[in-house]
Amino acid sequence: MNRKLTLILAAALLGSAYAAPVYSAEMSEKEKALANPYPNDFGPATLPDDVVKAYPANVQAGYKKLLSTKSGCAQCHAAARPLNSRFVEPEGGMDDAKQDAALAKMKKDQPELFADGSVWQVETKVWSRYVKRMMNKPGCNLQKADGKAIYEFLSYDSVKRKTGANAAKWAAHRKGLVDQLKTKNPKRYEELKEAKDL
Amino acid sequence: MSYRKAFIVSNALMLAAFIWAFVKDFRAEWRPYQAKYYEMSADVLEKQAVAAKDPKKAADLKAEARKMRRSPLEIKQIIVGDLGRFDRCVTCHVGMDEYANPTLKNDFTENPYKSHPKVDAALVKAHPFTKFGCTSCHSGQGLATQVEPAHGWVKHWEKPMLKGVHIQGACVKCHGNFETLKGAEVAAAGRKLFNSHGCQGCHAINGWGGVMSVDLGDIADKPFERIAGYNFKRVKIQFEGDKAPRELANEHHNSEWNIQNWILGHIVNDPAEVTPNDPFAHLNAEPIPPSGMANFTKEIDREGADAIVAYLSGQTKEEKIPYRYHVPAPAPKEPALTGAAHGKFVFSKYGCQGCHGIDAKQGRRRFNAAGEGQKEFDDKLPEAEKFKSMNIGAEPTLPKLVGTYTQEELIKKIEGGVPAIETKKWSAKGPMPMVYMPAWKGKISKQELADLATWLRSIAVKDDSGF
Repeated sequence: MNRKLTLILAAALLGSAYAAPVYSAEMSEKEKALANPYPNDFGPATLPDDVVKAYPANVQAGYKKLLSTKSGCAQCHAAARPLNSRFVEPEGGMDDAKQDAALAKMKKDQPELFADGSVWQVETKVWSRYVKRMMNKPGCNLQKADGKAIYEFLSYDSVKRKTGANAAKWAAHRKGLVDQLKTKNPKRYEELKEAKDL
Repeated sequence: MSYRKAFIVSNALMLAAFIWAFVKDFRAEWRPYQAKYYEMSADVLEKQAVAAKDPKKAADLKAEARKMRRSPLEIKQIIVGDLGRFDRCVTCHVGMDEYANPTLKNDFTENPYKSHPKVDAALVKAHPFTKFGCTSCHSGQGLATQVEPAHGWVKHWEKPMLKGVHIQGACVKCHGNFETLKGAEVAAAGRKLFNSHGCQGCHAINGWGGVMSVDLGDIADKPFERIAGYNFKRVKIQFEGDKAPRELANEHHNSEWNIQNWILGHIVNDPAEVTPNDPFAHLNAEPIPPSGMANFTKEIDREGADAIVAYLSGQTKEEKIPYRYHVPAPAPKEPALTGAAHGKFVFSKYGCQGCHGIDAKQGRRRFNAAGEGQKEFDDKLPEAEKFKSMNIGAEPTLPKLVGTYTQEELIKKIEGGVPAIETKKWSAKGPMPMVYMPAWKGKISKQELADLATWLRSIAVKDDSGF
């Protein structure tokens, strides 16, 4: 009887140890991201060299800044998160009217970009808002000039790599990431889907 | 030993025990107090008799004085069955015994001889001692007849007598409407401070409030064994007559180790110093951050801290007070506000300022989260230096952030919260910050959320980022 009870207790303890997620105090940003992941986190944390080389010099500088673990985005989270994001900011830079016009043109010429929110989220000023948000988080060492450079990269890259001729390639890539999330972490997938955050 | 001898010895022992018990009772601590009270009262009556011009009145007073001197010394008690009170306090505090002192008044100024203060006040009249006893309001150990045990200043008596303004916690126990009662002003001010500083954002009271820390609906019942002695020793309080804050004396056996001083200690000290835990994992496998409670020492003065203690002293479930003693109150009426003004009210109502500061002006401490002014992390830094940087980790200062959200994004953020694991820590090896942003979905109504987001966006600092 005692032996049986001991076995049951041991099984229960082992079971609970297996089921409970254990967060160690020391986790890398990648580990943390994967503990509570977005589809973005399953993608690569760098862009192919040929893609980056084709970008203007100032945009390339923004990309390098983004990757910096000391003063860029990677100081707080893996670079995969912005690089594989569904966000697209229409061209036009600081000029609101130009962005609005570019958005209207995209809606007219590329309606597919607005069909699946988990692949593209086209929105004016979206990267501007996000980069500023990250800059203002407690302890973020992102300086204004660096933030601006990163913003210029993200907004430029979002149009170049995710729309126009590259739209289909991007869609395949992004859908693959969403599928990975669905397979590897179905609970988190459902959670993000319900929150319309995919 | 023969049976006869055993019988004689046991009889002798029993006799000795009887004598010992008789002597012990004869020398009981309460006897001199009661005797002195009767003597003092008789002296007063005799003086009045001498001064009396009417011979009949003088004779009556003299007779009364004689009777007073001859009063038998006895244990007196008030039995209040439905409140579970058997209070012998009037054995020493004879001036408060309605039978020995029917007027319940005298001119004595010292305890235990003086009468109950403000006996003519509505508050005392509404709570006759014969119906409520003493400890229903004052706490302490009603059955005891020695000074220290009776006041509850002994080991294992966890509800010692409430001192000073803390007694107003007794009003909170029964009166849902205590905020409108004369005599409960301090407890009312305590509740106001509790809510205005956002304590309810982390600490619910009977289920109403945040989930970050313990529900304080029964904090007055918290047993001492749940408070580590080495933490209690870190509490420093300045009591009347002290020149500076000092540590509480000894453990358990005195009047200072009680839940009131434990709560007070969290407000007049930095809680991270009171409960430092183990941020460098010297004693545990994983580092444990200090108390997540913010440091209120610069925001709440001693008077305010005592008021909060008074309010919380009434949060009990252990005392099973019959329902008929409870005085219900209508739910507090909310101000008729709309838009941003209502949003500001909502921010305060749900205790958001507990983390983000009063009026969202400054994020409070979040141990080991990234924050402004921290040194660049270097594992070679001495622990004291690391602690300093960890200790200035902060919650977000909202006016800097909220302008980067659309209305919809902000609502979604508040609804979803931010789990602790998403925090950027200053030291990756250091402890996970204790506090996090809970999900508010389903707790704040849609209209409240919309107005809260509107107000937050209205206080956003001007964007000067240049992009």
